[in-house]
Amino acid sequence: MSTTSVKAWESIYFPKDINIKYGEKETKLKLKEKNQYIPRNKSRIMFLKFKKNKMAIIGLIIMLVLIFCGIFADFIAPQSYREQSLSLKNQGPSSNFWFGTDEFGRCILSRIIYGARISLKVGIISTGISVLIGIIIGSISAYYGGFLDQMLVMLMDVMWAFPAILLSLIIVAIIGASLNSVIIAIALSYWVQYARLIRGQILSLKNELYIEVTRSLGANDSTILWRHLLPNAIVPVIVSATLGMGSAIVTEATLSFLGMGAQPPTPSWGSMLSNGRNYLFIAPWSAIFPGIVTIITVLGFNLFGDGLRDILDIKMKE
Amino acid sequence: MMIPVFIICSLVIFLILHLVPGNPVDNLLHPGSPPEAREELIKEYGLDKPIYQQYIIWLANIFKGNFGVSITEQRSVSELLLLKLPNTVVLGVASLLICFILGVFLGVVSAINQNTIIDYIGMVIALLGVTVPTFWLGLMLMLIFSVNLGWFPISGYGDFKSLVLPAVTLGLAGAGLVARITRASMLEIAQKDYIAIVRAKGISNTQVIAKHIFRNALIPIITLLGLRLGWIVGGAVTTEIVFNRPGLGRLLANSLFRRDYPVIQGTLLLLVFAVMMGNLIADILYAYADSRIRYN
Repeated sequence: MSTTSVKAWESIYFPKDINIKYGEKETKLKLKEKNQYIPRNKSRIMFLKFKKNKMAIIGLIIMLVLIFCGIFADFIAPQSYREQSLSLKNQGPSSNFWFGTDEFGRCILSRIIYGARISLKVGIISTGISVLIGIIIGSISAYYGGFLDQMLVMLMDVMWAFPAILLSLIIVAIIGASLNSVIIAIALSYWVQYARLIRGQILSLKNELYIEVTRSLGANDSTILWRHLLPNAIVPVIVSATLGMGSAIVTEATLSFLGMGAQPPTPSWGSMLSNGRNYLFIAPWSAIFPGIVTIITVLGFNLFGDGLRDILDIKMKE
Repeated sequence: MMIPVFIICSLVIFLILHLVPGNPVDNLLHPGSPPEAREELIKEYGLDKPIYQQYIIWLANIFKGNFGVSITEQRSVSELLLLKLPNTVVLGVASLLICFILGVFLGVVSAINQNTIIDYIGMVIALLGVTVPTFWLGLMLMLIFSVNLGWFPISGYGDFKSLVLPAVTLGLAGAGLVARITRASMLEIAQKDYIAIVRAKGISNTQVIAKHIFRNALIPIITLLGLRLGWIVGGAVTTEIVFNRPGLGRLLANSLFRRDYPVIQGTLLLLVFAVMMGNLIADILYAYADSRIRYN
């Protein structure tokens, strides 16, 4: 074997760098050593792509900080979220109270840290429920087709005609203002987007050859649907759900702002904003900081979701 | 397809409000009034009939243009709606204009300067537009321009000055998504083969961008125009509450608190109708903008 052919062989199996395409950009992953293997493992490639995507990393960090704050709020928060000291009311940011105090003299920073719990709870549970509803209705509709599909699509069209924030407002108004009804309302208002997504995915997958093979091997409907179709259709839903958690958090804040959400003294960011609105002239910080934290949180979910979409290379309509 | 969906929407609106506990006439009664008075009121508003009869009567009346009478205010619902509608329409149109002009401008500028500092700044603004809650943006604009600078009134309606802040609030929040889609669509079209051919013909860069890329990139933006209507309707509720503007959104929120069924139903029906018309207009504009699409 001549040296040149060895070199040619080497350059195929040990290339200097690999081009990985995602989104619009083409990123070069430099390999540290010449003899390093190209990662053939799919998850390894995804991890490398993720490391390259700065925005997604920022999003992930924001999400992790939020989760950390939510879990360890009791240890991080400098004060209690409900301890009032009326002598210290409406004080501006200082070394004792970094974000100032509200109209009852409660520490705004502590309330914001405890509020992370509420936002996370609403974001995760309500999105979880709506994804679940969406998956069940969307996949059944696509898989069985026919009259059932027509009816379910009609139902989705009807739900689609209601703006989501309006729908959740109505549902909360009907079942009574509390945090749990906010979660239910958000779950019932946002499932349509997941149902549509999964329906489209399964419609395009169900005529694939491997499904036919599975069926000819004697698999029944539920095996095909849950074991074979769903795992292949789920990825865009995961991305969409990450973005959806951001909108769920904003919706919760909006409902609480309208007085339809978590009731006092629960430290929801939205209800803090609602109180801060009344003191806009004398204590603007009580309206500024909860808003900024909400924005950063939602930004985190959006950046991570966008990054995830680029990494998994999914074409999705915004 | 639209009419059955609209009728089902009306059924949904009717049912969810009637199957819940709590009778609207309870808000009208003074504490300690005799049960006969309550019975009388229930009879007067037709709430004692079976629910399907109530629905049929209600639907038949709507097709006659009669939305019923408000329970808490002694006025007809159509009168209330007509009173509040202009305020919301003005707000909606103004914010839709701001949303699209600003969004398309931002998107085009970002796309032309792809991967430069201008692009990054534009996209950060767009991302903020997507994430900032409408009501908070409203509060901050109010804080800066009304409380500190005193340029615009804090609340009120009717004149141009009081429209500026609410319309900007709603428009800015919507502009983010428009900018992102404009940019993505422009960049996608710019990679097409026919753009390369146009460029090879020697047509100037400005002309290529304005005549060939931009016009083709408009198609998804036009679709978005119709779909944004629902979003504007939702955003109008919070914006009207923040800025204390009398409009459909505030009417709806107030009636929800008071459980004033006829008003809630009428307002919702009008809003849902507006959203559905928006989707229809989007479809029509879509076919108009893209000559490849033909509906039979």
